[in-house]
Amino acid sequence: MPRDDLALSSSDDCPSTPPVGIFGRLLMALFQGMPFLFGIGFVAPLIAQLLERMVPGTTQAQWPLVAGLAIGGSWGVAANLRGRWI
Amino acid sequence: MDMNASATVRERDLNELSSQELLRLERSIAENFMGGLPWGSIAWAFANLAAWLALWPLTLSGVLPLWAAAPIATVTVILSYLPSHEAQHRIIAREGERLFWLNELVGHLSPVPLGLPYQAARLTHYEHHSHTNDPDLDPDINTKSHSGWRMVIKDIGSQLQTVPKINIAYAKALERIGSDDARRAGAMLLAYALATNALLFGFAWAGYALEVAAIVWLPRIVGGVYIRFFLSWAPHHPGADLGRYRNTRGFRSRLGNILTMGMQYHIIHHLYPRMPLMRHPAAFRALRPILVARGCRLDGI
Repeated sequence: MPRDDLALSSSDDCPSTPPVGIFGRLLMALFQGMPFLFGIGFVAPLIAQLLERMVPGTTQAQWPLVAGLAIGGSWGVAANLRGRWI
Repeated sequence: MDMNASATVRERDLNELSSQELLRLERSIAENFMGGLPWGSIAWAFANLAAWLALWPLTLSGVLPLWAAAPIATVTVILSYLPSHEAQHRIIAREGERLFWLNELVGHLSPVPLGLPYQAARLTHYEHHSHTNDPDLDPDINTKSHSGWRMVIKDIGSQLQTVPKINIAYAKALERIGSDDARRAGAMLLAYALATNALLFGFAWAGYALEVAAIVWLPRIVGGVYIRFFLSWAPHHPGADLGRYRNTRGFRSRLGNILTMGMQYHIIHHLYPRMPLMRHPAAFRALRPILVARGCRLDGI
């Protein structure tokens, strides 16, 4: 059963793949950068919301979001480079 | 059901029958469990989807706490696949029949909690049936493991990859099929992946990251492991044999038939894919002597 983030076969896997248009290339770039986008788009606000709930008096503070972006963004970049989340 | 055929199976020495005679007898018994509208699966599909949809307002408004929402959502995700599976095999209605629209509606709507597009699921599942346990062609072969625990660990490890093996297997299966339908299914798979991420990102940045994690993200991870364990690993274990009577097995689980979602009798499904899920236990009991005569693997059941 497929997960949310779909695999795109590399060109090595399918030598007969027809040439892709600009939309296809954009889509491939989007999926290739998906771990980073996931880090920024989901992990960052998740961490921020967790910190706001766990640390008293942080509801209006900016630092939980900054921490979320730093952790989520760097985790996403690392996942992008390594091909694994952990 | 045809009681005479069942009695025949019990009384005769099946070993005296030729392979063709045995197959004819098997089919005559199985015929009694085919056909009819699987109302249970149809009701299951819509009730489960309604339960999952109801979680959204209840959780986002704070009426339902996260600790309750997450397990309920996980159960709905786990339950979302099988009604669609009935539709994949056109069990509700075949193309051209009056209720085919209902078949397709169940097929498309039921797996929404799981985030699984129907056409991709259908085409890759047919590949699984055509090439069960084939190391190169079965798109579900990645769940093969020496033991259940190893399967769970392997599956979690795969989900930690940014591009899990199972997704590659599905993409390759669609590419191998190569039809227009397969290309459309691949495009839908991409669209679902983008839509899911857009949903997660949108709700998370709107201040509902924990809520959407409890309703969508976490349940799909946990539910996915459960589904692949009971629908893929357990009924095909050890996943070594090919052929009609050896590529799937019957097994007895400590969790029973309901918690394994009927998979103890999955061998019946591979023999007769259009037989409704809820008739598998009775069909299994009627066909068991023939399955024994065929050398099927029936582990404790």
